[in-house]
Amino acid sequence: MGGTVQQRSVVRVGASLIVASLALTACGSRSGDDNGGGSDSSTKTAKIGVIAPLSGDLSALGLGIQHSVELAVKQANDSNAIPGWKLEVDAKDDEAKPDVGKNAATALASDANVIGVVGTLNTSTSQQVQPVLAPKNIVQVSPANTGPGLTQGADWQKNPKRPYPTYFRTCTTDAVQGPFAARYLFETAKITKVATIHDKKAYGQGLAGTFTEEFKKLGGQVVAAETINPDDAQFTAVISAIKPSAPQAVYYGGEYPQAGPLSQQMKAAGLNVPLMGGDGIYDPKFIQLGGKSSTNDLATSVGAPVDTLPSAKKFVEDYNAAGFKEPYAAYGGYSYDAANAIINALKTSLKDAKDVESARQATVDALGKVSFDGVTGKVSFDQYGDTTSKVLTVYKVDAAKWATVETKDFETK
Amino acid sequence: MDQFFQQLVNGLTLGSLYALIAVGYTVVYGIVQLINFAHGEVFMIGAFGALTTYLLFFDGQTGLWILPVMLIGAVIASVGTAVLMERVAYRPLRNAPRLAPLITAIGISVFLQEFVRIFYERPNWTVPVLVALSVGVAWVVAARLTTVSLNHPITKWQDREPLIVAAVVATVIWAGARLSAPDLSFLVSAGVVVGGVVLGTAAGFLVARLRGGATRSQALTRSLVAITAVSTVLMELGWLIYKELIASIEWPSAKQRIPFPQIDVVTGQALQVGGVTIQRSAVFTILALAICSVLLWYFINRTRLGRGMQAVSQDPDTARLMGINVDRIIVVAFALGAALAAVAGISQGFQNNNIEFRMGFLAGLKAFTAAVLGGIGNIQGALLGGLVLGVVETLATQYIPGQFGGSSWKDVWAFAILILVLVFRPQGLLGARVVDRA
Repeated sequence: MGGTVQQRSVVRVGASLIVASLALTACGSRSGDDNGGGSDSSTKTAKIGVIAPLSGDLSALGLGIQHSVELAVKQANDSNAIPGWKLEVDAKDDEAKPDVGKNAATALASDANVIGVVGTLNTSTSQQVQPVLAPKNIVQVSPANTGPGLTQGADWQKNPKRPYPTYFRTCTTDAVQGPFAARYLFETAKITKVATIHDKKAYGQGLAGTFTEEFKKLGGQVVAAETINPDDAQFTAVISAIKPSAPQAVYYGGEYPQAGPLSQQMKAAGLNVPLMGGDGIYDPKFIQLGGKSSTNDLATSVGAPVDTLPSAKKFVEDYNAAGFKEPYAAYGGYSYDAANAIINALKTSLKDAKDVESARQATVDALGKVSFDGVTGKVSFDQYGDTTSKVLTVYKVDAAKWATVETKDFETK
Repeated sequence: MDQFFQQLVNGLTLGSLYALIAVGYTVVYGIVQLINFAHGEVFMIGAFGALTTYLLFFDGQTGLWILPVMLIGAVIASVGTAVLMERVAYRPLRNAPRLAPLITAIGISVFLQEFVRIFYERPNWTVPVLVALSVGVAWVVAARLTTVSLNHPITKWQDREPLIVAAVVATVIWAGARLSAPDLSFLVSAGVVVGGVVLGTAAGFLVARLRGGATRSQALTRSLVAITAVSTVLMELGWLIYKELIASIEWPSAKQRIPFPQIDVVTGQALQVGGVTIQRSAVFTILALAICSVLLWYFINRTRLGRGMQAVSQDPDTARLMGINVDRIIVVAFALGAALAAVAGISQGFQNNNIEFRMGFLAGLKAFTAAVLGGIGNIQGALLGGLVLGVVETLATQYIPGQFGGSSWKDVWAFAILILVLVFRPQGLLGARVVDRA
């Protein structure tokens, strides 16, 4: 019996050694990101929160948002944009999940120093974040939410009504983006038969819905409408189901983690038509996942391409010079503009304020009147909190890169 | 009609994947009555093993000859994980209540997922593993070189202690040298080896002398030199591999989906048979299932180990009395399931063109369903159950109209079939082959 006891203790010692060494390596590879405390007592601190997916499938977009806000705040601090105040970024991960986002928003709302929040990425997350931030009068500026309901209420088509006065966004909505894609396919690409697929999330469903409506109105035909689960990785069954109806293009409402493999599997299954999507698929990761056959796939995204605008050149240079590990991705420009919109509002609201909490209402009021030339064009908000700019761009995959096809102002017909 | 055959092909492809994974559930259950819920993660690690092999040796190439090497890499990763899992997590619980290993399995599953998610882009975890491997090999060599029984039932610590001290001293010297001079240089290597051997042996000898006297220490000298020399040389070799190979590669972050390498012949332009499009990866998957089931049949029915497995699954106590090493059979069962799961992992990579750390969860759940559907413990049942499940899923996507149709309800229909079978034929389609001896 003594033998087994001793053998056990060998296992125990071995296991704890392995755990210890793993813990050591884990610690060794983590860089110390301690900023060092000791803030000046004469300057007061206000925090700008970020709520975005910093881990998970959509982290490429989320980290771009975080870093762009950090860049804007750093520049504001360096130039002493708000005398007597120092700004800080407090980034929270929402994992692209509404409930996690709600927790992040609650954590930020309970911090007396938080004056505004940039985020979220997902429309469905914002639906949970808005009601948490609104009672505390904390402004929220989203660089990426395109669901129309967020600013104009659930009944936005017939009876638009702003649900939360604290919510603003710097990007255009699906009410514009879906129809814009429909017009491009029907009028420019001369495609009359499309199939639609969406992932049943608020963003995807909304996009596919507004697209379908406009495409039918123009005289086109939607030959098949399918849905997938947001966690799926295998789409052959759904592709086989739409293939016999011979669509000339597939419109996908959703994001790149599904869209990339969907495009690849579509082409591998012999359905050689372009896949088109919204800003959710406009990311380099889409091409990486879609492989070589993703050439000629299309995406619309809000605003003009960041790296071609003269006003954006400086942003790109500064971003690269700041040495962030991840690229600014699809929403970097919008996040930078969103952060600067808040900073601009703070210039008036924080000037004579005693503390952050008393300045919150003034910030909401000031933000509605903000107007400046940002990275993505003119930044200002209409009576619903939507951006006044309705410029959109169609991109096409060409030689493993997103190439600009056309940039247009969307006109309401 | 084309449409029907098209979906049938899709379903068989998907089903082959489920079948390959389901065998792992059923074999292990048949022998130890354990639902190994971490088996889905073994499948995931198989896919990551293949990707790792590709990134290590062939990044950017697409030749077909890479495929067997990737397969070997995947099988090593999966089987290694499964065997280690059995040794560390399940064997100590062999006689515990049934619920304990089940909960452990879920814990292991979460651990493996998080491990891949966090550590895939940070390969420095391989250093302690390489060190542990080096010391392990050195121990085996040293144990062979001595006449002293290291497994003596009463005094084994007395004889083991000098060896352990020698190995630890050598490892500490190596670690200290490499932490202060991480770059590869011949001088440091030579210093580490010579210093480790001299100091380690001296320390070990001292302990042996103090504990066992002159004769004992004489008898152990050769082993002491061997364990320090072999471990330091292997650790230096491991460091060379780490520096030159592992650390030189930009590992993708597993926090997002990672594109899977595309290989000539098995991926690419689909084949057209009549009106039916057959993807190359589908052909690969179905062929893989066919070959694996033939090999499996041969292994179970025609080899000593396979017959041993059958005997253990019928009655482990009697099998033990007949001279079968039950512990080894259990390890073989885990390894067998893991090897097939590795093949499935590669197939999934080719089909979906990407892999991620969560891919094992749903696939594992579906494969478990397939195993139950066919009759748990029954290998043919697992194969049939997988195919049926895959076909039901795809046909439901195609033919169920209206509200409950379409791709988003496919999982519901797959599990509905399971419920129907369990209600009307609880032993599964082909009957469970388990002697209930709870």
